[in-house]
Formats: sequence, structure tokens, C-alpha cells
Amino acid sequence: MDARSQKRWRFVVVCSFAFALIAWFGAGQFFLVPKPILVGVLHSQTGPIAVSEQAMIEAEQLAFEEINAAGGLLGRPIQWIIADGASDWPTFAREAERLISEEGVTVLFGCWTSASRKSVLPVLEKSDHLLIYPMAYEGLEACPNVIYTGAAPNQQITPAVQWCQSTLNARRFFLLGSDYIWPHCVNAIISDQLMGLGVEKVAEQYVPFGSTKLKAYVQEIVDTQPDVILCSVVGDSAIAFFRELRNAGISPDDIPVITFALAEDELRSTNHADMVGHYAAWNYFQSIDSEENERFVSAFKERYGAERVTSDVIAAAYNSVYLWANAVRESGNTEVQQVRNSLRQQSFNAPEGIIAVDPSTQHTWRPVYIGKIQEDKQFEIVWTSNGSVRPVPYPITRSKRDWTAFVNDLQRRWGGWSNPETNRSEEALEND
Amino acid sequence: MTEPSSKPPVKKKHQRLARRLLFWFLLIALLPCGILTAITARLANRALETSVQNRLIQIASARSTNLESYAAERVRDGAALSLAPTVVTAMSQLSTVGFSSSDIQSKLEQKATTYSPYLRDVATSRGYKSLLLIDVNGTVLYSSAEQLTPGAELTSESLRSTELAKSFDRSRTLLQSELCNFAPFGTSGNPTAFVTSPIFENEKVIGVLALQLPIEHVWQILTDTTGLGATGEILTAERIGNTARVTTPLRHRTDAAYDLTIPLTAQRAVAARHASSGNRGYAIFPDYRQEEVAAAWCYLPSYRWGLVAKQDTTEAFALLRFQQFVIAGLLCGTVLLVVVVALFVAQSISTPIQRAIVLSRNVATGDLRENISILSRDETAILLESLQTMTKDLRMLIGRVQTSSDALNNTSSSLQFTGTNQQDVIKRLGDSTAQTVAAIEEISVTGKELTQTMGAVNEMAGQTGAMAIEGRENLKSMDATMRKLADSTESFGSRLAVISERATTINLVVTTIAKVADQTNLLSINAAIEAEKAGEYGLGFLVIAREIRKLADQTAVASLEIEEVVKEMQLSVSSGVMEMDAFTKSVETGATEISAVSRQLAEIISSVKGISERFEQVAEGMQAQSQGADQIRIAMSHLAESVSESESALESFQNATTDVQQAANDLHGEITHFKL
Repeated sequence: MDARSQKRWRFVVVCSFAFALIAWFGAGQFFLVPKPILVGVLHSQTGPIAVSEQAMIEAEQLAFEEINAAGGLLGRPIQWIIADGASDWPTFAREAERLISEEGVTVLFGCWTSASRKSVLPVLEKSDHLLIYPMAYEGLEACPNVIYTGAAPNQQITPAVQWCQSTLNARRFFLLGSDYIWPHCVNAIISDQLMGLGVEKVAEQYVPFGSTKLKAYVQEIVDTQPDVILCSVVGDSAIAFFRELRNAGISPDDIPVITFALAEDELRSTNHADMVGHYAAWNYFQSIDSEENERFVSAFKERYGAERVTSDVIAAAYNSVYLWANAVRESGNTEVQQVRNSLRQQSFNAPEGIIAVDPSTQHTWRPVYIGKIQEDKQFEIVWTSNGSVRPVPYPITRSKRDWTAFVNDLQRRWGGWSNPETNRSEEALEND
Repeated sequence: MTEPSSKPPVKKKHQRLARRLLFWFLLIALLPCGILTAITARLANRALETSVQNRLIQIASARSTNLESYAAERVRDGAALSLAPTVVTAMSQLSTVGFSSSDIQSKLEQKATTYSPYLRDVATSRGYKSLLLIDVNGTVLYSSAEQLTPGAELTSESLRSTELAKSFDRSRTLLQSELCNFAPFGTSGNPTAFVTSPIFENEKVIGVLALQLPIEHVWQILTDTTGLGATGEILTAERIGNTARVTTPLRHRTDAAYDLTIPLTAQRAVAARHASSGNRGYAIFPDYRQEEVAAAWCYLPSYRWGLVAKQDTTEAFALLRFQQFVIAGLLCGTVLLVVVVALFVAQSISTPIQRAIVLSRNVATGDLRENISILSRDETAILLESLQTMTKDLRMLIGRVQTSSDALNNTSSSLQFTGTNQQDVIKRLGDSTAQTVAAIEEISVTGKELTQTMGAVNEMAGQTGAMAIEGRENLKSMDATMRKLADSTESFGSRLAVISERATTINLVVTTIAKVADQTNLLSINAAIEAEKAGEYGLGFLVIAREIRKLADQTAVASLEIEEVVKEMQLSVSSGVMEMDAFTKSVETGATEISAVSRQLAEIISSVKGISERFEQVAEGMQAQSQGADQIRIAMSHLAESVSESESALESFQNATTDVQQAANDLHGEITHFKL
């Protein structure tokens, strides 16, 4: 009897202890299953830009996975919903709308092209939501609903121009871009800078978006013999351009090209021989020698394969997630406005160096690098800004009003964010 | 009884009961209390820590926002000023001054007089220390500062590496307004920064406007310790290689700005290291004073500084410490109270039980004297009451048993005594009976013998009768004989008298012989004496003398003997004569007596004939008597058997009594255990 009651007591004690333990440690796990934090990832998974945007999705995914593996945010896991913009601007807007109103995401990471961003802006403004845009772009925009973690023009283009002038002693600049919003804005900024510096702009030409027929432009370069070519040609056009340039017998030593659109990831899948010796201006190169970068590169390679490389957009996309995560941690919730406010104060020791969100512009302080394309498809860093550079979305060469007018004028002329005429004529040419 | 071995478990059990009561009470009371307190304390601690953390982060954020917006404003201000027509005109005009002339400084000053009041005023009114106009080649064309004079070359050896020169170059080439880092500048070495902005004329850069920023404005924001209590401060540091240089005066060290450097590897530099590396965060660590502080840090991109908002933990967590103290105090108090109450309750339960145990143990040992005072009114009281009732009942019962056992003992003693007495009596009765039986047997035998004897007597009486008849006849003959005998006896007496007279004549002859013998003797003596005198010749005579004397002696002796024989004969004859006389008389008497006997015999014969008849009657009576004696004997033997039976019965009774007494003694012995 005594032994039995003792046993019973022991059982009761053990049970109550177990219950206490469960209550103490397991309450969160057993009774309050943490609701995941929903985030939207809006990139093209199909269409012509998908090749480039896929890397962004991967970088963002890597960051999400790392954060989840480290215990999530505010004790909640991150759940990301990838929406396909399909390289189509209205689709971007539609998908953004869907992610926000239907999926109920707390933040959007996404867009590559300025056209897609511009399409998404009205949706963001309507619901006062938040987009983190991790792409170097032309600037001339400061939407309160967007945190720009890519380079503003003064963090990529103007330093490159200055570098060409001071280091390459370039006095004659040839400007070549794809015929859509970004190259137009970039070239406008460059033009202003060249004017301010008192150097000559030889020509400003635009290649129809996606066109690979660039012989005419290369011929013009051969004819004009500029000191340097500032290239904002994107995608296949860029690859074709370098090929044509080489075919025309122009070596980097003759006329170096500074490209604002090609990074390690693009070099990986192209015949890079045409490009070796030319330059690119970015905020990040895989060749940056820092502890943070080493860790980031190895993590990326481990996740996606040793043959994979990191690039500016990949780093920017990766950093964007961390900046946002830190902001969520600091604000203590995922409420859009609070996170946005918190994001405006974030800084982060990123792979490329210290980056910080500038509260007044919502752009990001980033360091600037200029790299020379190497045989191993990597960049040799030839210049660095030594520390992060204040983002200036609206260069002071024109007033904000003038810049806005300039952009609006382009849109009005095109009825969109790319030049339909040249694109159409290109299509017509192809059809002929 | 296994008293000694059963005692320890009882004690152990009791101890265990009290201990278990105490244990469970404490467990039930303290465990939830402890858990609750721990949870509450943990939650409260976390809340407090979070609030401190949030407060510090907010302060750091607020200061950084403040500083960043200050910087952004300066940059915008610079950009705006560079567009001011007066600035552009001044720049344009000053650029026209030829550099070939020797006194370029005075020329520039002279040229600037038109614009200098405006330029000075616009700078001071906007809070700038000074304003500089620098042409695209880096030549200072106008300066309101003492450190730089017009005509100074930024490309010169001394100025080339200054922040101003770098900022100027960036503004000129990147065409943007810039805020350079704060750094000691000029001869005074005071930390200063410049806002530089390109000046355009016809979309072409003609120069750079530089505005000197006093660091005091920044310090004003940084030394504002609102919300940081008495020990909090804002620390900013810039990273120089592997050290962090403090760029602001500190509360605890007012001369720290641009003086105090902390190696970044040191633990106390954790905040400065993280902050100046661009990270944001919060931690508790010992600071440069080795004082433990709670600190939140962030990065100031415009200044490239790390900002640390920190407060000594002693102050920041004072409330926490107080709370911990209060909780600890409350917990201690609760524990104390609970222990006291638990002890009291355990005691209140265990004490009566202990008393009950003592009581029952006493009962077990037989001590029923104890009386317990019952103080409480709970179940233990009921238990004690029941125990007491039980004890009381037991005491009464055992008292009665004791009395009864005493009485029993007494009874059994007297019973035993009685038994013993009775045994004696029965023994005596047995003896008596045996004797009686023996006596009766003897009587019976005697009776038989008597009967036989009577028979014999009867016979003899018959014979006696016959013999008496015969005797009477014999007596008649005897009477006749007697008569003859008396006659013979008289003749015999007369003869004896003749013998006696003769004996006397013999006696006279013997006396004459005796006298002759004496004379012979004397003659022989004389002859002997004469023979002696004759000597040898007389020898033969002497022998004859001696023989004569012997003869004389023998004659004397023989005469004496004859004398005596004669005397005896005389005596015998005289006695015979007398006896003859007596015999004669006796015969005469006898004859008379026989005649008397003969008469008596006749009488006897008649009597004997009567006796014989009576003897037969007696014999019959004797027979009957013998039979009665036999019956008596048989009855007596039965009686003897009964007696012996009753003797053995009495013996067993005695044994039983002994057993009873033994049992009574045992019982008494048992009962004497109990102390009433």
C-alpha cells in the first residue's frame, strides 16, 4: 500500500514536472504555432529577363533560408511567395496587386528593370505598401513606398565618368544604350556630367531593346573614334555589341568600354573573350577581398553550386533581405509602415562594405567599385570609392522638377517605359 | 512480543510522516510559488530588459536620425547655396582674376569686397563657421575663415590630403554636394567638416562652394543625454585602421573627442567596433571605463561614425535590481511563512499522532495509566479520544479481570487446601475401612474358629461328662487305696525311729575313734621329733612316724566323714519322718477331698449335659454372625474401592485445582503487566 501510494505520488510528481516543462519550454512550439511572415518575391521567371532575374530570386531565397535556419524573425519563420512577372510590365503590376491584396505579404522584394518597377509603383502607392528594389538604376525617383538598395546613378555612373576622365584621361565619350527608360536617364545624367566637366560627348545612341543587330552602332564608333564608350546596353544586345566591337577590331586598349549592365553572372554564360579588358562599374564584385564577402560567396556557391558566381544584383538582393530582416527585428512587428520607417535607419556590414539606408532618399549608401573584366570571368578592381557613397537619386545638375519632367516626357512620348517605335521597327526589320 | 524490534519502525514511520507532510506541503506550496515567481520574474526581467533595450535603441535611432537629417540638410543647403546667383556671380567674377600677378591675395580680397558681406552673412546666418569659394583648379578664391587665405592651393602639399581637398575633388568631378568627414583642420586642429557643392555656370562647373561646419552643432546633438539618466551618454567613434577614435566629448570624459582611441580588438570596443563597421545592435559589456553598460549602437553613414547610446547597467537596471530584490524578499518571506505554517501544520498533525503512538505503545507494553489531554478538535482528537476510550475500557476490563483472577486464585488455593484435607480424611477413611475390613475378617475367622471351638467344647463337654463319671468311679477306688496308704505310712514312721536311735550309737563310736586318731597324731609328731634327734639312725623311724601320722590323719578324716554321713542320715531320717507325717496327713486330706471332688464331679456331669445343649444354640448364632460378618466384609471392600476411586478422583481434582491455580497464577502474572 505504502509502496503503491509512493509510486502514485512519484507518478504525479513526474507528470506535473513534465507538464511544467512542456508549459515552460514547449508552450510556443505546442500551443502557439508561430504564423510565418509572408513576403512576396516578384521577379520574372519567364521571358527574356528571366535569366538575369533568376539570380535575384536565388539570392533572396538564400537570405530567407539563412534567417529561417537561424530561428526566423521574431520567432516566426519567413515564408516567401514567388510571383512571376514574366518579363511583362502589366503582369508585374497584376502580380504585385495579387501578392499584396490576396496573399497578404508584408513586403515585396522584386523587379529588375525600371519599366517593371515603374509599373508596380501605382500599386504600391495605392495600398501604401513596401517594395525593396535591389537593382542599380537610373535614379530620378524617390517613391516613399520603395527602398532602393541598388545603386543610384551617382553611385555607379557618375563615379565611372569621373574615373574615365581622371584615370583614362578620356575627353570624348560615346554613349550607347538600349532604347528604354534606364539608358535614357543614365545618358541624360552622363550628358549633364560631361557638360559640367567640360568634356565632349561624341554621340548618344540607343539600340532597340533586345536587338542583336549592332553593326551600325559599332561602325559609328569606328568612325567617331571616341576615347571611351559608356555602355548601358542590356541583355543579348550587350553581348552582341561586344562581339561586333571585337569583330570591328576595336580592342579595350583602343577604346575601352565601361558597361553598367554586365556583371559576373552575365559573363558566366557568354563568350567572355570579347569582353576581357573592358570595364564595369558596380557596387559589388565577387573579387572584393573581405571576410563578409568570402562568407557570402561560399554560402551562395554551397547553396547553388560551385560554378555559380555572385554579382552586384545578387549581393543587393541578398542585402535587401537582411536590411529588411533587421528592420523587422527592430520594429518588433511586420506592419508595413513601421518596417519602412525602421528600414530607413538600417545599416549593415554587407559583403561589399558598409551599406546604410539613407533616411531622406530611401536609397542606400553603397561603396562604388570599377572592375576590369578578366580571363577568369571575374573583375579586377581598379578603383574603389573607399567607403560608402551617399545616394543622390536626383543629380543636382538639374532640379528635381526638371528630372521628373524629363522622365514623364519620355513616358508620354512612348506611352510606356520603353521606346515602342525602335522596338517595333526592330521587330519589323526582323520580320523582313 | 517483539517490543524492541517493533519500536524503531514506529519511530521511523512517525518521522517519515512528519517529514513527508513537511515535504509535500513545501512542495505544493513552494513549487507553484517558485515557478510562478520565476516566470513572473523572468517575464518582468525580460520586459524591463526589453524596455531598456528599446529605449536605448530608440535614443540611438533618434540621435542618428537627427544627425543624419542635419547632415542631409547641410548637403542640400550646400547645393542650394551653390545655385544662389550671388555665389555664382562671385565665383564667376573671382575666376577672372589673373593668377600671374604677385599679390594675388590682395587682388582677390579686393575683388571680393562686393560679395564678401553677403557671403559672410549667408554663411553665419545659416550657422556655418566660414564660406569658401574654390575654383576648379583648387585655388581658394574667397575665404571667410582664418585658416585659409585666398590664393591658397588645395593641391598644395599641406592641403592635398585634407578632407576639404578630397571633398572638393568629389564635388567638382561627381557634380554633387558633399559633406566631408569631420577631421582636425588648420592650425587650431579643431575638428571640422566642409560641405562642398559644385557651382555651375551655363551647365559647366566653374568652381566649388565650401561651407565650414562647426562640429559644435553635432556635439550639441550628441551631448544631449535626455532619456539616458545620470550615467548615460552618446559616444561616436570613427574607425581608423584597427582602432576606434572617439569623436565626441563624453559625459564621463569631456576631453575624449579626437583624443580617446580604443583598440577594436578589445572587448570594451564591442559597440564601437560593430557601430563603426556599419552594424546596429545592442549588448551589455564593460565600456572604456570598465564600467558595465547597456548600449545600443548604429551607424551614421554621413559621418562614417558609429554611434553608441549607452547607460550604466547599475542605473539602467536599477528597477530590475529593485524588482529582483523585492521578488527575492517576497519569495524568502513566502518560503519562511510557508515553512513556519508547514512546520505548524505538520506538528499539529504529527504531535497528536505521536501522542497516540506513545499511548498505544504504552498500551502495548501494558501501561494503561496514561491520560491524554485533548486540545484540538480535529480527526486526530477523535483518534485520541477513541484511543483514550479504548484505554479506559481496557483499564476497566483488565481491572475486573485482575480482581477475578485474584478471587480465582484464592478460591483455587482454598480448594486445594480442602482437597488436601479431604484427601487425608479419605486416606484415613481408607485406612479405617481397611482396618475394619481386617477386623471384620478376623471376626469372621474368629467366629468360624469359635464355632469350631464350640463344637469341640461341646464334644469335650460330652467327653468331660463321660470322663467325670469315669473319674468318680476312679475316685472311689482311690479312696480305698488312700486308706491303705495311710496305714502303711504309720508302720514306716515307727521303723524310721529305730534307724534314728542306731545312728546315734554309731555317732558315739566315731567320737572314740576320732579321739584315738588325735592321740596317734600327737604320738607320731613326737616320734618324728625323736627320730630327728636320733639322726641317721632315727631315719627309719622317722619314716615310720610319718606313716603313722598319715594314718592318724586319714583316720581323723574318715572319722569326720563318717560323722558327717551319720549326721546326714540322721537329718534325712528325721525329715523323712516329718514328711511321712505330712504325707500321711495329705493323704488323709486327699481322701477327703476326693470324696468332695467326686461329689462335685457329679454336679459337673449334670452341668455339662446342660452346657452342651446351649453350645449348639451358640454355634448357630455364631454361624449367622459369621455370615453377617462376611457380608459386612464385602460391603467394606466395596467401600474401600470407592474410597480409592474417590481418592484418585480427588487426586485429579487436586491436579485440576493445581492447574487452575497455575492458570490463575499465570493470569495474575499476565495481568500484573498492566499498570492501572
